[in-house]
Amino acid sequence: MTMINQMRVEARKLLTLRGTYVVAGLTVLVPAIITAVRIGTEDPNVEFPTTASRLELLGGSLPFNALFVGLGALLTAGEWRHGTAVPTFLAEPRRWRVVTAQVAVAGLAGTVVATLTAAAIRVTAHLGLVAWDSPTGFGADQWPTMLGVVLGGVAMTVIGAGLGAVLRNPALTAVAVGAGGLVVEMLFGFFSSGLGEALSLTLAVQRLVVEDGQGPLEIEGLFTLAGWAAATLAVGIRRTATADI
Amino acid sequence: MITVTNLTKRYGATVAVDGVSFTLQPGTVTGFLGHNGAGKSTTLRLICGLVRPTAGTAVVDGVAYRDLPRPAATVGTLLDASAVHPGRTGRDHLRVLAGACGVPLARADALLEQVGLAAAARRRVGGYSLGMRQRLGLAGAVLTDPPVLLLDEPATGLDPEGIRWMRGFLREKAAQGCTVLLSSHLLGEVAQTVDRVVVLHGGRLVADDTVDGLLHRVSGDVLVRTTAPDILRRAVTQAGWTARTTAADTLVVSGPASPDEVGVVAGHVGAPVLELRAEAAGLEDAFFALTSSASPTPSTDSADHRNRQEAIR
Repeated sequence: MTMINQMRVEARKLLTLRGTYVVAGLTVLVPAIITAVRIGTEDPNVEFPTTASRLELLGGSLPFNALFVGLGALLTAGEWRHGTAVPTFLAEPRRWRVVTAQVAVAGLAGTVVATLTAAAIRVTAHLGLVAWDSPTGFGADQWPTMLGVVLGGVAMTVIGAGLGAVLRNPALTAVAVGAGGLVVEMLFGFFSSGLGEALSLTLAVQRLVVEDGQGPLEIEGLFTLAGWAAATLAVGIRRTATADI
Repeated sequence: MITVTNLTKRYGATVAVDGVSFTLQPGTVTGFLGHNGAGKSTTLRLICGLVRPTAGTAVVDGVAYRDLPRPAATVGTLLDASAVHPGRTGRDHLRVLAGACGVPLARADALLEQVGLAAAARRRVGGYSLGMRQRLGLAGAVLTDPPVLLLDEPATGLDPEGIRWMRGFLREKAAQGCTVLLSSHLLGEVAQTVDRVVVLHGGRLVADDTVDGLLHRVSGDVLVRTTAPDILRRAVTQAGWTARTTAADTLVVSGPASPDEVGVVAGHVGAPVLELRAEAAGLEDAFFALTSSASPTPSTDSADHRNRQEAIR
C-alpha cells in the first residue's frame, strides 16, 4: 500500500470517531473562551491599552496545548487502547509505515485545528475589544504570533502522536505532556506568555539563552518542539515496530 | 498452504510455544485445540507476524506473512473479536478495514448484509453484543475473500443459527480450496466442522491427525461379545491390551486397539465372535485424554498403533 493510501486509511479512522470532533472542538473553543473571559473580566482599556499588550491575547495558553497532544494521541494510542492495532498491522505489517502515516495525518489534523484555534482566538479578542469600545489593532506582530499558535499546535499534535505510540493511552499521554509542560513552565518559564507568543520570537532558529555565563537557562523555540516531535516519533516507531501484539 | 516448522516463542523463562510443527493443506478445515494457555493464540499470532518467534518459521505458501505482497488479501484473520473501537460504527469499522486491505468500500455493506448486521450497521460497536462483534469480526476476516482463514474462537458468543451459518460457511470455503485453521473450545462444534485436528498442550504439539484418526488413537476401546470370554481375555492380555468384563459374554478391550485387531486375535484363538465394534468416543474424550498428562509428549503419527499391529502379526 502506498503511503498516500495508508494516510487515507488513517484519516478515515480519525474522522469516523466522535472523540476526534469532541477533542478538536474543545481545542478550538477553550482558548477562545479563555480569551473572552480575560477580556470580559479585565477592562481592556486598562489591561491592554497598547498594541504590544493586546498581542498577549493572541498567544494562546499553556494548559490547553495538552488538547493538541490528546488529538495527536487519538490515532496512535487509540490503536493500542482498543486493540485495533491487530487488524491494522495485519493489513500493513510494515509498522513503521503505519505509525508514520498516523503521525502525518495527526499533523494535518493539528494544522486544521490549530488554524481554527488561532482564528477563533483572534475573532474572540476582536469582538471582546469592540464590546468594550477598546482599540482593536494588534499590529503587524499578530501574524507571527498567530503562526506561532498554529505551528505550536501542530508540533504538540505530532508529539502527542509519537508519545501516544509509546504510552499507548490517549488520556495518559495528554496528562503526561500536561504535567511535563508544567515542569518545563516551572523550570524555564517557557509557556508563561503563551506558546504562540513564545514561538513568535524564535520561529527561525532555536535559541539557547545563556544568562550570565551560567549555562542554558531557558529553552524555547519551534525547533525545540520539532526536536521533541522527531524524538517521540522515533521512539514511538521503534516501540511499535518491535512490539509483540 | 501454511507450513509451521519448529516454531518456538519464549517470554523470559516461560515457553509459550515449544518447537511446534504442522502443515495445513488447502481445501481442509483444521481444528486448533488446547486448554487456555496452551499456546494456540500465540501460534496464530506467530503465523501472522504479530509476534516474533524465538526460533522456527511459519510461512504461507512459502512466504512469511510480513513478506506477502498483500497479506490481508491472502490471509483472513479473526484473532480478537473485541479488537474494534467501541466508538466506531460497524459499517465504519468495516470500511476502514476495506480501505486498509485495498477492497472497494461497498464490499463492507455487502458483507454486513451477509453476516446479518445490516440493521445494526450504523450503530456504534460499543453497543453490540458479543455475538454481533463476532459476526463483525468474521465479516472483517472474509473481506478480501482470502484463500487462507485463521480464526480464533470464532463461534464464541454466536447463537445456534450463527454457529450453523459459520459451519456451513467454513465448509463451503474449504470446498472452494481455502485453507482454514479454526481455534475453538466448542469441541462438539469442532468435531462437526473440521477435517483435521491439531492439539497443543503446554506449548507443545500433542496431536496432528484426522478427527477419525484421533478418536481411534485415543479411544482404542473395543467391545466384543463372545461365547468364549475367558479364552479371549487371555489372548488380548497376551497381546498387550487390557480387558474388563462388562457382562457374562462381553469384554471391553482397551488398547489402543481396533476392532479389526481384536477380531484377528479372536480368530487366532478360535473364540467365536457375536458382536465386535469400537466403543464410541467423542472428540471431547480424545481431547482430555491427550491433554491430561502433566508433561506432554509430542506425537504426530500413530507409530505406537502401527508397532502393535506388527507385533500381533
